[in-house]
Amino acid sequence: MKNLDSIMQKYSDTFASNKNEFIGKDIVWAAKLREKAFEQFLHDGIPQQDVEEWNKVNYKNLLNNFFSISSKTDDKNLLKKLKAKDKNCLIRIIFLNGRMHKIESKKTFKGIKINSLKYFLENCPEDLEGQISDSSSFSEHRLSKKIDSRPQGIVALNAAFYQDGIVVLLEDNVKLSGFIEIIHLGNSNNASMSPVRSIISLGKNSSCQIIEKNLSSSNDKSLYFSNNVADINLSDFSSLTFLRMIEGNELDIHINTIHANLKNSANFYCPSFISSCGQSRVESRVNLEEKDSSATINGLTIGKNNSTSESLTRVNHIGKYCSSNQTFRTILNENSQDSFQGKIRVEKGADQSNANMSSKSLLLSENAQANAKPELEILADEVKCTHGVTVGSFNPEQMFYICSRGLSEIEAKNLLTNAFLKVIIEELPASLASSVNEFLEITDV
Amino acid sequence: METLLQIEDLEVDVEDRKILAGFNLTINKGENAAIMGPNGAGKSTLAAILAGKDNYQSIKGSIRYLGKDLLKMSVEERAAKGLFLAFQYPVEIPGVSMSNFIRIALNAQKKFRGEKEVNAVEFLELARAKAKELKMNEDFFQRSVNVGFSGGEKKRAEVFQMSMLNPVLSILDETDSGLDVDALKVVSEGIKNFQTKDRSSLVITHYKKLLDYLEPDTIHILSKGKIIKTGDKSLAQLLEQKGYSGIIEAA
Repeated sequence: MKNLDSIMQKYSDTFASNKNEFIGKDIVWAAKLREKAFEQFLHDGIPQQDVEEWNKVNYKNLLNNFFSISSKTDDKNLLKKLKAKDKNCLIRIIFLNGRMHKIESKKTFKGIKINSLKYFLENCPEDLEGQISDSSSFSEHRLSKKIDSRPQGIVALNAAFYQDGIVVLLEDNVKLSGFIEIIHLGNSNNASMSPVRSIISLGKNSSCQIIEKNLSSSNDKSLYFSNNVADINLSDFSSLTFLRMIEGNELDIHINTIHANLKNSANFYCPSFISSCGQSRVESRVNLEEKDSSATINGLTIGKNNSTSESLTRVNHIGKYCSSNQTFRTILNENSQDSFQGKIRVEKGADQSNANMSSKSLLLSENAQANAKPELEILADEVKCTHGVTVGSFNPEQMFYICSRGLSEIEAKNLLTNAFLKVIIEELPASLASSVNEFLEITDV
Repeated sequence: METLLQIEDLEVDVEDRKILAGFNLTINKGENAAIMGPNGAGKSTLAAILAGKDNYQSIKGSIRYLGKDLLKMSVEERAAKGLFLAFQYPVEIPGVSMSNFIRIALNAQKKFRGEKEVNAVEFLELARAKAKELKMNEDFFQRSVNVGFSGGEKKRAEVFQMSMLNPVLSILDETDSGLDVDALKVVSEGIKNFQTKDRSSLVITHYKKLLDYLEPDTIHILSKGKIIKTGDKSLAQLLEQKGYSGIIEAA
C-alpha cells in the first residue's frame, strides 16, 4: 500500500509541475476537464482487481510502477522500419511517444479538418468544445443504482495527462474513399506512458475509414504504457469504420478505449485485432442514442506466451429501432490469458432493439486461459437479444473427420483455425484487407 | 483373387466391454461386401477402427490393408492409400466451404502419394460433373461442410466426397439411414456407378433396401462382435423372412 501511495504522490507531483505546460492550459473548458479528470484519478486510482470490470487480469506492472510522461523524441531508425503507405491510405499520421510526429498526405481533402490535438487547441479550440467527454460520463451504472467511476481510472489518467492526439472532423456530406491511418510508435528508456486523446467527429451523411495501430515499443527492456482514448461522435446518417490493431512486446501495456455516440441512422463498424505479447485491453463503449443507429463491434485476438488480453464492450441501446452486433474470436497459445466482458444494455423505451453478441475462444495450450462474461440488461419490452459464448479446444470429432479425408493433424488444425477466424475477416471491407493480412502474417496464425 | 483387406481375430474394448471379439473378415479387390447386423452389434465401431479412430481402450488382432499393417498407419495415410469412410453422422465444419474442403483433401492425398495436385479450374470441372451425377445443386459447393444440410444432403455429400476422392476401398456406414425413398435411389445409384473392378466397398446397413439396389457380392451378418454368417445376396432375402433373431439362433 505504501508503494501505491508513493506512486500516486509522483503522479500528483507530475501533474502540478506540468500544469502550466499542458496543451490547452489557457482554454477554460479544456483546463477544467483536465483538472476534474485528475481529481477523479486521485480519488479512484489505477483500477485494481476489486473493480468488477478489472477483476480478471492482474496489471501488476501498471500498479507497481510510476509511469512518467514519455518524452518527445525523434527516432529515425524506428521510422525507417515503417513500410510505405498502403495504396488505399489517403492520409497517414505517425505518433512517437504519444505526440504527433508527422502527417503524410499527397493532397488536401475538401470538407475535412485533420491535425494534431495540440494544433487544434492552439489554433482553433472552438472546433473541439463539447467533443471531449468528461471521464466520469461513462461511469458504470450499477444495478444497485450506484454510479461507479472506478472502472474509468485509466481514462481519467489519460484525460489528466494527455499531451497530444489526433483530431478528425468531417463536415456534412463528405465521403472519403480510402482510409486514414494512425500509427503509434514508442521507444521509451524507462517506465513511461503515452496518453493520447483523439477526437473523431463526422457531420451528417459523411463517411470515412480509420485504422489506428499501436505497434510494439522499440525498447523491449523497459515498460511502456500506451493509453489511447478516442471520443467519437457520429451525426445523422454518417458512417465510420474504425479498425484498431494492437501488438506489443512483453513489457508493453496497451490500453485503448473508445467512447462513441451515434445519432439518427448513424452506422459504426469497429473491429479490433490484438496480437499481444504483453498486456492489452480494448474497450468499446458505444451509445446508440437515436433511432435506427447501428454498431458492429468485432474482435480478433491472438494470445501468445504470457500475454494477457481483454476486450470490453458496453453497448447502450437508447433510441428505438437500433441494432448492434458483437463478434469476438480469440486464439490462445502457451500461457496466454484472455478475458471478454460484453454488455448490452437496452434502456427503457428503446423498443424494437436488435442486439447480438458472440464470443468464442480456442485454446491451443493446456495452460491458456479464457474468461468470458456476457451480460444483458434489458429494461425495454420489445427487444430481440441473443448471446453466445464458447471456450474450447479443437473438436476431436471434427479433427477425425478432416483427417479421414487425408489431411494431417497440423493441416486439420490450420483449417479449423482459419475457419474460426473467418467470420471476423470476411466482414472487413476490401480496402482494409491488406492491412489485416499483414497483421495476421506477423502473428503467424 | 487378390486380397485387399484382411482382418484376423480383431478384438476391441470400449469401457471394459468387448465390442468386437474374434472378428474375421476378408475383402478382395473389386469385391463389394456388405455387413448387416442388429443395433449394438459393433458395425460402426468396425468402420471407425478401419478409418483410424483411436479412442478405444484396446485394439487387438491384425488388420492388413494392401498387404500392410493398417493399425500402424495414421488416419491421413489410410485416406491417401485409398481408404474412405462415409460417416453415419457426417460432422459439421462451420467456416470451411464444401468445395474448398474437398479440394484441400484431394490435394493432400495427391501430395502424400507424390502425384501432381489439381488446380482450381480442373477441380471445379470435375466437381461439376460429379455433382450432376448425384443430382446435387452446385450452390452446395460454397456452403460450409455439412452445416445446415438436411439428413439426405449430408449423405449425398458423403457419396460426393467419395466419388471426388476416388478411393480404393469405400466403407459406407449406414449411408441409407435417414434417407427417403427418392434420396435412397439417388444415393444408391451414386454408389453403384462408382463400383468398378478396381474398387471395393464395404456397406454397413440395417436394411435390405439398399442392398437390393447395390447387389453386393457377399453379405456378412454381424452379431455380438463377430461374423456369424456369410453368404451371397440371397442372405438378405433370408434375413427379411427370418429376422436377425432367426438367423442368430440358427447360427
